[in-house]
Amino acid sequence: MTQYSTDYTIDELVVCSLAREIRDGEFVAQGGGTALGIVSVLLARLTHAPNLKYNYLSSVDPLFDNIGPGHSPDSVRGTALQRNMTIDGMVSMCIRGKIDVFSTMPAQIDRYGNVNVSLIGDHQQPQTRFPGGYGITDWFLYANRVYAYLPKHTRRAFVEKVDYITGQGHIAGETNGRQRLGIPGQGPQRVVTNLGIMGFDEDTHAMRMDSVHPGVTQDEIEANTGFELIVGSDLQETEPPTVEQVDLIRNRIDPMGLRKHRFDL
Amino acid sequence: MTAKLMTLEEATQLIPDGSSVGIASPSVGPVALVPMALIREIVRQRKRDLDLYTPIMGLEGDLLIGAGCLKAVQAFAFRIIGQAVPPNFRRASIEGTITTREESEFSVTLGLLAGSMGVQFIPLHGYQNDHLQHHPEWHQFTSPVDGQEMVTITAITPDVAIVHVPKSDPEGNAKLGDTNDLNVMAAFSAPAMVRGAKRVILTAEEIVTNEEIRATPDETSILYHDVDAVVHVPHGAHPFGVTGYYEPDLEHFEEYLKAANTPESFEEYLKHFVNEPTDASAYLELVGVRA
Repeated sequence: MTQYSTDYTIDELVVCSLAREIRDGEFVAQGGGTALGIVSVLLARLTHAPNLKYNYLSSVDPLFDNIGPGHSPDSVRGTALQRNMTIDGMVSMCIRGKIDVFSTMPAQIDRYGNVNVSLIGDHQQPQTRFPGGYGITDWFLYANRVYAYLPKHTRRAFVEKVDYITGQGHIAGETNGRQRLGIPGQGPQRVVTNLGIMGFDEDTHAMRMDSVHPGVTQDEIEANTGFELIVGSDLQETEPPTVEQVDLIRNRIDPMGLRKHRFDL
Repeated sequence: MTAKLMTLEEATQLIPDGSSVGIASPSVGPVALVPMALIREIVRQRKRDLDLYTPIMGLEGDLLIGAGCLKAVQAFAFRIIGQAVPPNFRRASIEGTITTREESEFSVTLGLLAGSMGVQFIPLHGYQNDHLQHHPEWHQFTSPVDGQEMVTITAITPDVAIVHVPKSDPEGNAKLGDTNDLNVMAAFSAPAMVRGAKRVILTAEEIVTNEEIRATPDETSILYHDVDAVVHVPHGAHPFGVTGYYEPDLEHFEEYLKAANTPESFEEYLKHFVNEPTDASAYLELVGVRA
């Protein structure tokens, strides 16, 4: 009998939701941009996916299980299969389809899962300039399944059309649009926010509300989304974190709470 | 053997106004082979309308933007040592005074690879994002192999590539140090951009003899036939650190970020740290480094 936590926080729910998407034996590309992503990978490995492998801080499959005190690039990379995979190695690995899963935290996302991490406003004279996309463009094309997570589900983040397509989602209305363009990855699968989990319709690839977090309503999600979401006939309540997952996150993987970045604003 | 040793002042004259300039070893963190002394000399010589190619644009590019040297920049990220969006870049973006060609890790990598191999482009399939509209050098075409729509990731071949190295001989045979200590991008991009560029300027912590280069041949990453100028500049990456030589000056990064926050305080920074020091050693004295 699974024991669910009753005192989990929203960042922990997002970590667990992302971790559940990773299957045992898969290869995960994990950027160093936010701590939440690596926490979800380490959680998956310590629970249902002990055989997953991943790359992190440019090393391949380092053996470490926490980002607590003493965690540093050197401590991580010293235990890897390969200490420093240079960028051409990463490109090779990704374009040839060796990456199963990638997740990222965009500033904006639209109905078809296009994501923006570049800027807000006009391209040559933006209102806000972000640090840029790094490899997000590439992982959204060539990783097999990609996931987005957003700490604040708002109409400013969920927009009809993103201001800048940094990472390509699905092709509007085309069931096999990505295949037609020769894009090997299946594209965005789920979007996890502080309110719920969205998926994408199998035929039109438009965004769909799949589950609502405990204590949140369907109306609340709709009111905070800047376009019309498909609501599935089997809309569910999001599975909460288990007692075991919360214990691992708090006491082993991330005792300093680095995963809360942007979730605690 | 042609000796290519020259002064910073002479080497900078190899960069005409309007040139494309590539920083072969970008900054990801504060330890990086960024030729800062050369960049300060570019500012002192008031170069204008330069087009900067760098995988990740950090303090070095921000300094050039704040000093009015750049008309455009091409990179996949804009960050000072992995943290702040560079302040002068942010301001110039919002004011519309800099042209930004954002791209991605893979397009930079394939563009540099094409340049280093001497081929025009490497084709990439499915690349249909908004970077495309800012890269007139990328062309869409249909692959004659399988009819797939593709984009040419065109070779990155800057007019001048600049890089700071731990050791070079007078001809430009050079070592980058432990590539495991270089960032994931620089270990690839430094030798690749040097091969693709039309001209190359090295600044070096140490000028060593040709015999010393030959004593550790496994570590040679840059060869003489790609290099046009070699400048001896100890502490030439300051405020960046160089593995085996010196730690980064993190206080100076903080000072820079604070100064770059407003155009007025940045003018003061430029005056104090770039224009007033008469040469590279005067700068080092100013920042408290004994070379």
